[in-house]
Amino acid sequence: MIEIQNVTKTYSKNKKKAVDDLSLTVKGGELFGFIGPNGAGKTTTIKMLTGVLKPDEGSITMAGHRMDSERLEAQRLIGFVPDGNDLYDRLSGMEYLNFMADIYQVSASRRKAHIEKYLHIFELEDAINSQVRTYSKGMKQKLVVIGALIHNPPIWILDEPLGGLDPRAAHLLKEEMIRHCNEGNTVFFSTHVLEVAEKLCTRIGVIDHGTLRAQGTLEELRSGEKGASLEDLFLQLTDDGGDNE
Amino acid sequence: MKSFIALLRLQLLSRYADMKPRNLKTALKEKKGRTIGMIIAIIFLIAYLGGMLFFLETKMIDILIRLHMPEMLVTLAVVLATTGTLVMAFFFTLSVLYLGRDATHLASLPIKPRTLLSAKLTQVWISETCIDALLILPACILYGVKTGAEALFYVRMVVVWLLIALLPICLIAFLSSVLIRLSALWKHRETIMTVGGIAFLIAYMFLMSNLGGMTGGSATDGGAMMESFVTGSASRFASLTKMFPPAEWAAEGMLGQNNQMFLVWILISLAAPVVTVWLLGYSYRKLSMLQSETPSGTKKKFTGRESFAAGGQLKACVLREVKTILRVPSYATNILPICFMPLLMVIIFSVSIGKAGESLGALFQSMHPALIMGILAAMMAYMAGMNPALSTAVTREGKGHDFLTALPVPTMTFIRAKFIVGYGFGAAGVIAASVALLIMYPGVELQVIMALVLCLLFSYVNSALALSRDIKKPKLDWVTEQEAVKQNFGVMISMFVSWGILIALAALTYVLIDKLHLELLPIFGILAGALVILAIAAHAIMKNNAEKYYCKG
Repeated sequence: MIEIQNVTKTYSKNKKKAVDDLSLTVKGGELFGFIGPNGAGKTTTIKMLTGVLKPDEGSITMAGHRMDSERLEAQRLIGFVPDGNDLYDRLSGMEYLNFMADIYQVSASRRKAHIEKYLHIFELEDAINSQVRTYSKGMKQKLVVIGALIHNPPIWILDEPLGGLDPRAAHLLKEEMIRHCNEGNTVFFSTHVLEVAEKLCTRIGVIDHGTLRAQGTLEELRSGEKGASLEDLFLQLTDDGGDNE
Repeated sequence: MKSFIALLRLQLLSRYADMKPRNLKTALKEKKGRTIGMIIAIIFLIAYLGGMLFFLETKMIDILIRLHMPEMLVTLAVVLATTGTLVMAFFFTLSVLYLGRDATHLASLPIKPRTLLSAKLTQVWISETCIDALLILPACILYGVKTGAEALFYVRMVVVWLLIALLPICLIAFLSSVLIRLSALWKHRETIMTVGGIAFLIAYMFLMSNLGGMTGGSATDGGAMMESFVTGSASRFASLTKMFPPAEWAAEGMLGQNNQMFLVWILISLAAPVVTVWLLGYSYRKLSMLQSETPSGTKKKFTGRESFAAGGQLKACVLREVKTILRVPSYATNILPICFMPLLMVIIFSVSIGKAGESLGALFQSMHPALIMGILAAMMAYMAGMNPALSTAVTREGKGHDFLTALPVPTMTFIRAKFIVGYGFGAAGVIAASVALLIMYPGVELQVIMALVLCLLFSYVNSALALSRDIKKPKLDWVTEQEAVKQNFGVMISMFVSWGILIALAALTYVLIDKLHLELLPIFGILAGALVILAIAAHAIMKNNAEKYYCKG
């Protein structure tokens, strides 16, 4: 479903390669966790995956659609939850969801069913007609998630999706992510919470200094070292990096 | 005292960070062209405004000396400085005291509320005193030189200049505290800010139009018009200064006419900040936190009866743009009054000139029809050039820009939505002004309709160029919405560009009327044709910039 081939991105200001020759494939039915220290290149990669940034070199393909030449077709297949959710504070929750549904051309009946279902799941019915700025951080995150999934996209790209969610909502979202993958779809998400990645993901990629240091299932990453936790592996793989923001 | 100095330094550094030599040096290194352009534009603006003011004052003092009332220039400077501070500093003071994003952070620091309030008020005073320097010093120095004033006059002038802003600032501080207290009680607090802000601006315009209102149509040249203005307005200035006695005390004191009241004014001006800080200090901490708290809007539950009607992408983007402009007070108060300024001007103008309206109608009859069309079009187009709706259209997306570009929407759909909304607001204002003109001034219908067509075409050119510029160089890293629309270099550039086009069109009109002696219809045809060509070119630039820069990559 997601194919990243030799992607490189350099920001012109500091001439530093934010992402360097990254190649990665995430198949249908996979829940892929993308982890790395601060400033490792996770958000830049996600921005390129969602078509926000264009890579300097290499190509990105979403279910057969190239992001450079078929951007709109590729973007229609994605449900994107960005990191930080201070979007459209002055719209009401309902207006925001209708905006997203119009953008993704979701019919009236489908959007009604979807909104009702997710409002109930995320317990957001009480505030949906209030302005977004009156929401707590977690409520905003729930709203962004509902909006991103409103067109039932086959590919979910989630940047730190669990940040700000209460334990119940986080649990529900994790279940939704697993259900989505079990239906043969793809979830690509970044996180700093290694325990979540360890428990949830079918495959994990570790990025540091813009380079993919390792990828595979947890077992493959352990490469025979029994009992090694993802935290140990992460620290080993990113030993020289640390926080380089 | 240490906290006060540290706070004041922080406020000034964050407000004038761009002017710090070190930052300026870095900016020159990284964005040379842009920084040099900005410096040139600022110098040009100061020179333009300063030059205009100086020209007016030199003309005025000669007339006033002839009329044996030179002291009126001093009174005028004091009145302008006082009303200027009262009106222009209102939003600034309100945002500095109560709408800063740092309210929570500052409240968590071990600083006394009164120290915090003192530092913030001092920041406002420094800003206003710098502006007052332009209003007070040149006029008073000119008066002093022309009338051979003694050294004591200049000493008094400096005292007035330094103290003139204090009383208005203190009044505003009290007024804004009341407004914040009241708006916090009301669940639609942003509506009160928007409506209050727009009403305040309209009131100010009425006041200014009364100050500068025409006194008759007999004036034929600039000097005579100014003389007529001065004689007709003397009583109005006098009544204005009486409305705010401290301004009268300051003016009379500077002129040495009433030393006793001058002393009283000095004492009141010095005491006012002390009293303000002492009184407001009690509740400042609580009030400053009110706007940063989550608004207490009632929970609006999901009922299932909401509209789920499906619409197209363009409609969704247009709705988002409109709702954002109408619901954010900073956007509404900066965009809506300017869009509807032509209508306001027509109404205010008609109300303030009163009976002179008849002579305006007579003036219209005596003018070349093309000139009437040109003047009306130019007046409306001048206002349209100041519309920030499009010169900040991409900037207003702020941090949401990346999210929008991740959506499967063709770039031109986003741009079209922005254009429709920005141009639509401006066009609505111009059409409303034209309708008002048609009702109030019968006999010039054809010229009004032609002026409207020309203005709409001009607005198209201006809007497309303003949006093109913002697509290419949006300022997305703003913190407050006020910063997005106010502290935006693009707004100024777009304004200058539109005025430049307007000057070129005025020159063309002059040639067509005065040199080629053409009639109304051919002149209209030529001007409309030129504007259509410009509109096509501007649209092409906008489209090209959209494809090239909107999804930056």
